[in-house]
Amino acid sequence: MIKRIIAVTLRDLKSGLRDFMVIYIMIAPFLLALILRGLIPSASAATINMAVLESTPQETIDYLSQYGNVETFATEDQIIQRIGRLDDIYGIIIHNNNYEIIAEGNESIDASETIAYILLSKTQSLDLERPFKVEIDDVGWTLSPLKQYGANFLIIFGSVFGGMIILLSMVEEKMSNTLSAINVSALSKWEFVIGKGFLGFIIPIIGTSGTLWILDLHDIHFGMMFVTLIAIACISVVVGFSIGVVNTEPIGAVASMKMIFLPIMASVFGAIFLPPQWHVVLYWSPFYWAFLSVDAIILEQALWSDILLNTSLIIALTSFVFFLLRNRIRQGLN
Amino acid sequence: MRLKDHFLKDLKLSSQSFYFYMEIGFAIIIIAVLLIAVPENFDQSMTIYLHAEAPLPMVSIIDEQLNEDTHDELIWVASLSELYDALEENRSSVGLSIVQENQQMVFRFILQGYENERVRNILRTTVETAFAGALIEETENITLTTLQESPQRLSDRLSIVPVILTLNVSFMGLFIIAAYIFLDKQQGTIKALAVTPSHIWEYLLGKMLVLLLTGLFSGIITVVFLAGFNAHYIHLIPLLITTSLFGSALGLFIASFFETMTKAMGWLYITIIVLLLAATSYYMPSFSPIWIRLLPSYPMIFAFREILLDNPNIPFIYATTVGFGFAALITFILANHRFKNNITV
Repeated sequence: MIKRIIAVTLRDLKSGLRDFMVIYIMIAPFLLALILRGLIPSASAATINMAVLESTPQETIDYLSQYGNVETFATEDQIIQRIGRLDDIYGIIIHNNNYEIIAEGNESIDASETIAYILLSKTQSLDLERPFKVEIDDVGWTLSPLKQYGANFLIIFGSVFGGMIILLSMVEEKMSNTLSAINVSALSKWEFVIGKGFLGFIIPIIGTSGTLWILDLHDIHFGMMFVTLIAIACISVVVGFSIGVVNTEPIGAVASMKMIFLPIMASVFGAIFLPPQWHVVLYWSPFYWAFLSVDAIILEQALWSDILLNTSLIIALTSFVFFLLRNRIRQGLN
Repeated sequence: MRLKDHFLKDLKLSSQSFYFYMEIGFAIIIIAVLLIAVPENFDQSMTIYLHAEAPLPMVSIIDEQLNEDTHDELIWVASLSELYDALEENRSSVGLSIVQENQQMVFRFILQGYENERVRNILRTTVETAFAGALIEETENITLTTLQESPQRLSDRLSIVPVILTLNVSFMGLFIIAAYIFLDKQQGTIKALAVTPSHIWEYLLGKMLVLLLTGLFSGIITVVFLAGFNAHYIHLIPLLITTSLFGSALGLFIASFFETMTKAMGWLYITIIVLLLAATSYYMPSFSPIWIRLLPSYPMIFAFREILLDNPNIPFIYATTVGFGFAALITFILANHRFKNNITV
């Protein structure tokens, strides 16, 4: 039996390598993690953007650079034009000893008051004896929210890549009519399903390992992550088969795959942005439980009891979907 | 005439396929999710843990002032160690410890640690200057000029619509048109082209027009349900037309380099993910590096946002519309040139 399962997997691997599909899908999570890694430093450093005249004293430009990015322009009109562009940037123009802050008015966060305080701090002597002192300290947690949620999203999204491998190989079998040949071979349906599902199961695990490595998440609990990954890989297999069996051509398969983005996006962004009392609307989604587990693991706050509970829920939900679709899958394999 | 025939034939085939109804279903699901599960505005408040070792009247004044000035959740804790523990438990919170030392009040902000030096400088300076405001003479040498008379901000829910229109409508054709071409190739129907008087461009444009029609339909119903009468449909339609044609032409161009859908899929996914990066600058406008501003999805998202505003920037909308019209034409010519040589191979 094992030999027949391996034969199905190896055949898919060979076919996938021939048209580079397996390679593309394996590289994709690594590539996305590299993009995220490149994005994190500049996105995390973004604070306030300011535009000043080239004639502004260098000392003022250096002072403002301690708080945000400073761009210089030759004329006031150029500054106005720059402010009118799509991103958020404030103009600062010095007239004698007076400062004019220019805002477009539609900024996503109003930073004009903050800039006024920064300029006020420069213009007024604050060195006088004050009855207060402001200090800044931290608890030494250097993982930014962008990295925390970005890594989590990539790990959950990895299940799509695994599903895609199964889905495409199923559609290919149908289009080349090889499925009917398999039906008259010694291979049982379950051996075929396991053999087909193996690549889809293993790809999210490889992708996640790469994501964790590229994003330098070395201090997490790997045991808990492995258990969670098994659950995510189960989602991947169910996604691949449930879409693969109902589609006979690539257009439907691509469109159906797009449908999977919706529960993923809804689960991840819902878990991040919705207030806790609204999370109940996401309980149906295995991606939501996977997000909770990965988030706790990345934050190094995970408990085995929570991980096992979330994993059980993911497996129960995916098994339920598999159970509901069992007849459809059986028919689709005929 | 032949273009019309191609268009009608593809439209007929599409309307009989699973995909056509799935796109419409997808748009309806997005509308339902946004209307039912997504609140009008997200709760962006944070938790601030506070600890004070100062005379009680002073603590009461600070508490009163903070409650007046902030919508954030304020939680007083009994000790400094409890404050540190709370910050370690809740990684999206900050702490403030107020201690009286040598006749001086010390306001110690305790952050998580990932905040960069600029964020710390802003925090230190704004708090120091705000506190010192009572001590230093009032200044009138700083003025604020706002360029827009009545600036408008979209609700958080409505802010999602431009991203949906860009990725799910304008770039919808990216995948689907490639799938159409490869399906015709695989089934051999494309070879019939070689023995008909049809031009390749008519065949390609016919498919683009079908996707345009589907995109227009799903784009308009999305805006109708989510923005109602507040959107400017007269400007939306030309923008949807040129951006959708550009998305399909780009899909054709990418597909022209590959023999099968499976080979093209990886590059199509990478393209859509790169285009998606423009959404980071849309939601975080202070982060807009030049390479993101160069992505076609960047002006597209902002142009769709203008459609939803009471006073849209009409020149910008039409500059974007015309720009994507030209871009669609050039991309289409390039794709046509490539397909002429390899489509029936």
